[in-house]
Parts: sequence; structure tokens; C-alpha cells
Amino acid sequence: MGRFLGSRLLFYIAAFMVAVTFNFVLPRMMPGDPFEIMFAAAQGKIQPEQMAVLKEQFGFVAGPWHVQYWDYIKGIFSGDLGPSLTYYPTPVTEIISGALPWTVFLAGTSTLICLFIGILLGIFSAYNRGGKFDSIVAPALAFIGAFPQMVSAMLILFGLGVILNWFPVGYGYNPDVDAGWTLEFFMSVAYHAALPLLTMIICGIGGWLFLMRNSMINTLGEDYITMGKAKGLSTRRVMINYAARNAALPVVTAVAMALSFVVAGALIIELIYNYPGLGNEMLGAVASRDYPLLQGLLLIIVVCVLTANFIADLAYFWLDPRLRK
Amino acid sequence: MNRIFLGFLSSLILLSPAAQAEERKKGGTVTGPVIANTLIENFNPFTQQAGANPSRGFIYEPMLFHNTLQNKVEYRLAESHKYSDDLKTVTFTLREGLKWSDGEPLTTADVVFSHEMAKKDAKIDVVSLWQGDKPKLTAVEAIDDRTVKFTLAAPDSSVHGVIAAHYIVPKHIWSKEENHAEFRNKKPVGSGPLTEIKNFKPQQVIVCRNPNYWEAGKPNVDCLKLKQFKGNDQVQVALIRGEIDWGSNFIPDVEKTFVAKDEENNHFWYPAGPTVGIFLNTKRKPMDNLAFRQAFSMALNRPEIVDLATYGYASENPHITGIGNFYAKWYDDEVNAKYDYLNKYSPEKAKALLDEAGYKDIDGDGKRENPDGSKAKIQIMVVNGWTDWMQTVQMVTEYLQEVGIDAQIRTMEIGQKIDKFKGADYDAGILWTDIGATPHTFYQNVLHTKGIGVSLQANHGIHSEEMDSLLDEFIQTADLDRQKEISAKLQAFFAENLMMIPVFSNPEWYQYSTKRFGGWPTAENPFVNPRFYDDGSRVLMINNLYQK
Repeated sequence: MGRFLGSRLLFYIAAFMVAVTFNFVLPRMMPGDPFEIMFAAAQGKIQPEQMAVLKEQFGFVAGPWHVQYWDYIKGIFSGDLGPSLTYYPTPVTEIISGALPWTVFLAGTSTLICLFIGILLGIFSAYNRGGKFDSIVAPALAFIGAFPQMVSAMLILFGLGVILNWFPVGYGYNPDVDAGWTLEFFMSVAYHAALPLLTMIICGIGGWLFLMRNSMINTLGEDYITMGKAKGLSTRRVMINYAARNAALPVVTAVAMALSFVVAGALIIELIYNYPGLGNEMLGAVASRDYPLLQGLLLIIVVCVLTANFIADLAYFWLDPRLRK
Repeated sequence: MNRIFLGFLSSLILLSPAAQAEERKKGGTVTGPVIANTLIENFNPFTQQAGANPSRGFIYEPMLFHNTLQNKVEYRLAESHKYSDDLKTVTFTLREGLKWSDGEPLTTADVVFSHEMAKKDAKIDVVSLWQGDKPKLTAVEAIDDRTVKFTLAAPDSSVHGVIAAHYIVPKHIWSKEENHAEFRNKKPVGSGPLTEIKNFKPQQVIVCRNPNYWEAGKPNVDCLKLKQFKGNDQVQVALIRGEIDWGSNFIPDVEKTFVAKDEENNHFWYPAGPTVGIFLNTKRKPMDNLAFRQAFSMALNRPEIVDLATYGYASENPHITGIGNFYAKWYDDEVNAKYDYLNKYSPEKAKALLDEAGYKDIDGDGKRENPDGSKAKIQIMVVNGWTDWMQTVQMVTEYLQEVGIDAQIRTMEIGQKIDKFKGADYDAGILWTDIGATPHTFYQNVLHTKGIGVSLQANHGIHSEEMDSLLDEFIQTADLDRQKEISAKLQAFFAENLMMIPVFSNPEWYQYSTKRFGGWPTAENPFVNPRFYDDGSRVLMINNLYQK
């Protein structure tokens, strides 16, 4: 067991270093630099001479690459990611820590709900394959899920938000309400999360259903299922303990991937609903070539992806006894 | 010559609303939009977050600013300014009894301190007064509590506006800070109409009245609430839902999507902003030929471009001299009479002109060739995604094709376009121009040889020593008549050479609702250019608003 975990850990450390290097290089390979973008965005409101001041203010991104890279690596391990360009002099860590909880809440909640409902429906659908549910509801959910998130999000926003005016169309909560452990605040958060959550659940549920269903169907053909049934065990016991547990392995991988993309995956939703999460910040950082902020955001994603995969490794270890030998 | 700019004109303008002040209710919170990903708790006026930052103008008021729409100086913290005869010093006199919002007196010591900061630290010198290759100022000195004298590096009659654009911050607070560029200033002590931050959230900030504001009874409103939005479409939704009282953003088909929802209260006013035009690189064929450039200009149907590409929101420039209605007070009738024909749509004349200059279709492909027989092909650059401009360039190429010129649109990234403009690596490209207190800003950046490689608009290949010295003279004189003379010469030089084909004046986007608040600048009462993102204008605007 130790050797398995040790080699995995080494792999993750190597992967981490490669990924953070890419995080550094990729943004800088985009054409244009932050000053020019800022200059252009001002459309004549910044005079050419003032560019010099901008460069002075943001001198830390104008240095040679190897100096910037070294600062960046030092920053990662010391937790100081430097100031953002767009929000100078606000530190990147402050912007990220303000946005991260919203994304984790939004994407985490929606993933868990999708997962729970999707897997249950998948199990049910596979066990009664060919039945009414399996041939009508499941394809319908897959159909809805096949819509690009952007389209569903805009349709829902326009219908329930703009036309019917039932739900707010922006923000994580009503800014007139003070944040705190009050019922009013939680109600406001829930009210504002309603449309983004609805969109993400509608879009996501079909995928889980099919993943679980297909994995289940393979398992249901195994001899031990027939044996379980022959022993006269209850349907529920066969379905959950015999079939579902063994069908779960591929799903675990998918869950790990899904959780790791929780931080990055809500980008479009956050954008459309003006939700104060990381995706929202990421798009702004790309558009303005805010290298420090972009690096910080990508770092969070790298950490999440690797951590989730590591947890998936551990889960395999627990679910699949063959690995324990 | 000694020129004193008196503030009485500006007070006249302010008096007319003030006369009705008794009827005006006090109080209320007016709400406006900010385009940002998130608001940041930073009220340092020297950081680059102008639009998202209430510190400029609202919290820290300028000493004065130039009201471009009225073409006059609006005195704010200062009551007058005066250049010495040789234009080597300029003296500002502050109003009497100015106070910071915490009750401490605001004196010239604060002015000197704020400029000394910029002198020491280039990061604070946001308007490039003290630092760089050519600093504009060499010294600042307080004569007494209300009088402060700036010594200029070279004679310059236009520097007062730039000096005033450097914000004055309280010495008794800021002198305690070590790193001024990174000071977040979360509890600002300011001089403007709104200084008290009441509620800060990443999605909205509420800033309320300054208890010690110098202008009696102002502002009428108690507070200003700025709400965060991602982009124009979200501002549009908020306007329609009545969540905000004004907008400063592009809204497609504004009559239908906004005004029609509440015709009594929803209005818009899009006064002319800076000129947008197609710059031509005269170092390349066929743009090197004046006749070709003139034909280019006459081939364009500008009213149709304004109508279709900008939904009719841009303003046509009545003249070909480069400056639009933003600078209407500087138009010169004689110059315009001579060159106005170039501004009119006349494809027949354009064709005749091209024929005459030897641009003929030799190989029979329907496109004209250069007189020497080589292909005459031009690509017009535009930034990908700037939809109204892409549409503009698309239409321009179609008009050019109608007169037989092989023109194509070329889309690219903004960074790339900037490099190409600066390095003269282009045939043609659509670009904005700069605006300032006088047309000098426009011509300086287009015509002065100093701008080559620095200004985006300068590297087109046509310059003259005479224009350089006229441009230099313009800012070295304080004589308005002489400035008008120079401006006429600059206009004539521009129209004569056409290194840029003016297409229209970009609109200043501005929508407002009179449902809850009145006192907006309107087309009928244009007391200030409705630029809510702009530092001086926004002070006049907020001070004039009142709850209904």
C-alpha cells in the first residue's frame, strides 16, 4: 500500500510542477500585453505619455521572463501571488478568496445534487431497462443535457428572470442585505442561486444518469447478480449492494473529474448570471491579460484537479480489493 | 500678456439650477452602474480603476476641469488660476474655507504634498506631470494658505487642466502612509461631494454626502449607490427593470428596448464624442496619392454608415477637418467652405478623380490598378469583436468597391493593431482619436512628429515643420484669438492632406430615467458632457441631481 501511494504522490508532485509552468507560459503566449489592452480600452482617455506610469506601476510583469518565473514559483510556495494588474494594488489572493466560496458553493451544490439524483435514476433505469422510465425520461434528460449550457442559461434567465421577473438576474445575494449568519442572508443567497443551480442541474443530470446506467447494465449481466437473485435476496439489496457497488468504479473516476472541474466549470453560468465566482474573474483576467490573477486562478484549478484525482486513487484503493495486495 | 480666467461664467450656469433649489427635495439614493468583474475596496485615486472607482471626482474633487461642452473652465476647489506673462508659472487660488470631510482645513500644504508625492514616486504621477523624459513641471510652492505656484519646464498655456487632474489628497492622512501607490485608503477623507463609504460589497458600494462640503446645500442627494455589472447587456436589463437611474453604455436599439418601456421617464442623449476615422498609411501605394485619398473620402456615404453601422447613434462630422461637433466652437468657416465637398458622398466625382489620376482598370477584373500598372489593393484593419466598427469598415469597403477600389476588411487583436499603427505596418485602419480641452490634443497626436512611434495616430507619413511649430506655439500662447488662428491652419493642413478619413464622431453613451431623480444634463440643458466615468463632469452631474 505504501509503495502504491508513494509512487502516486511522486507522480502528483511532478504533474503539479509541469502544470504550474504551463500556467506561467500559456497566458504570456497570447498576443498583446496588459498595458496595450488597458491603453486600448481607455480609447484615448489615457495619453501615450501616461503609458510610462502604467508600466512603472506594473513593473513586476514587465521584467525578464526568468525573473518573473522565479518570483512566480516563490510566490506559489509562500502563498503570496502578488498584486493583480486590473485591481492593482489588491493582492490576487484577496480576489480569489472572495470569489472561491461562491464557485465552490454553486458548482459543489449542483454537482452533488446532479450526482445524487443522476445516479439513483441511473440505477433505477438500468435495473428496469427497457421500461417506461428508461425509454422516455432518460432520453429526455439526455436531450436537455445536450443543449449547450450557454443556451439553456440564457433561455432560463430570459424566461424566469427578465420576462416573468420571478428571480434575480445577477449577484450572489442582495447587496442591501448584510452578510452574516442570518436567515435573511441565507434566503437571499438561496434566491439568487436558484436560476444558476437550476440551469446546472438540468444540464448535468443526464450525463450522470447514463454513466451509471451503462455501467450498471454491464454489471447486471454478471453471474453473481443472477446468484443473488437465485438466493432470493430482495430486489433492493441486489440492486444496491451487488450491482451498484461494483458499477460504481468508473463513476468514481468521473466524480473525481467533476469535482476537480467544479472550480473551473461554472464559468459560463457565472458569466451569464453575473455570479461573483472564479469563472467570472477568470474571463476578465484573460481579457485584460492580468497575468498574476490568471496564474492564481489556474493554480487553484491545478490544485483542485490533482487533489480530486488523488482522492479518487484512494477511493479505488478502498473499493477495489485487488489493489490492496 | 496676463490672462485671468474668472469663474463667474461657471457660476452663472450653476445659478440657474440653484434658483430652483428651494423647491428641490433633499435626500435619496441615486443608483448607477459600474462595469467591472467585481468592485474592490480601494479608494486610492492614483490607481488605475477610474471607472470602478468613486474616488476620482466624487471623493476627491479636482481644483478645476475643462467643460468641453461649454468650452470653459469650471472652477471647483480652486476659484481662479493665473499664468505669468511669460507662461512659465501658473498660480492657483483655492476657495476660502475649504475643509476635508473630517473637518480639517484643506490648504495649499495639501496641494504641495500631493504633488511632492508624484515628484518622488512615478507610480503616483498618473498624469505625467513630474516624471518621464519631458516633465511638465519643475517646482511647486505654497505662497500662502490659499495660493500655490507651479513652475513649468517650458512655457505652456494648457497645463492648468493637467495639473488639476492630479488629485489633491489630505496630507494629515497620507503623510502617515509609507507606500502611497499601494495604500488602499479604505476609509477615505476627501474633498468632493460624496466621501462617506456606507456599505461596501464586491457588488455594490454606497457613498454618501460629505458633511463638510464647500458648496452650500450640495449635493441634493444623500447617497450614491454604484452597482457592479459584467457588461452592456446586464446594464441594459437593469435599466429596463428600473434598478439603476442612469447608464453610460451601448444599448442596441435604445428607443425600442429602453425608451419604449416608459416613454415619459426613459430618455437617452448621445452627444458627439471623439472623431473616429480611417487612417491611411501614405508611405504605401496607392494611399501615397492625394487624389486617391480624396476619392476615398468622397466615395463614402457617411450618413448611411452612421445610420446602419452605429444604429444612428454616432454623429456625422459636418466637416472634413478631423474635428467633430465635440469641438464645434473651433470650426473655421473659411477652411470648411474650401474643403467641405470632400465630406460629401459623390461616387461619380470620386470615379472621375481616380480616372484623372491614372487609377484605371487595366486588366479588366473590375478593380482599378495603380497608374504604374501594379495592383492597388488595400486592407483596412479593425479589432475583432468591436462590432459597430467592424460593420463600419465593412460598409467602407463596399463603398470603395463601388468606385472600383479593391478594399478588404482585416480583423485582428487589439494588441496587434496597436503595434501595426505605431510601426506604420498597415495600409489603412479604423481608429479613435483623442479628446482634450482644445482641438490641440487631436492635432498634436495626429500631426506632431514627436508622436511618431508613440501616438497611435501619428505614423501615417505626412508631417511638416510648420505644423510642429504651430502645435508648439498653440500651447505656448494664452491668446485665444491666436489659438483659433493656429487651429484654423491645422484644420486646413489636415483637410488638404487627408492622412485620415474622418467617418463620424463616436457618441457618448448616456441613458437616464427621470422617474425618481431629476436634474440630468439633457440635450435641452447641456450644462456638462454626461460622462459619468469622467472626473470633473461627474461632480457637476451629481451635484445637480435631486430626488423627485
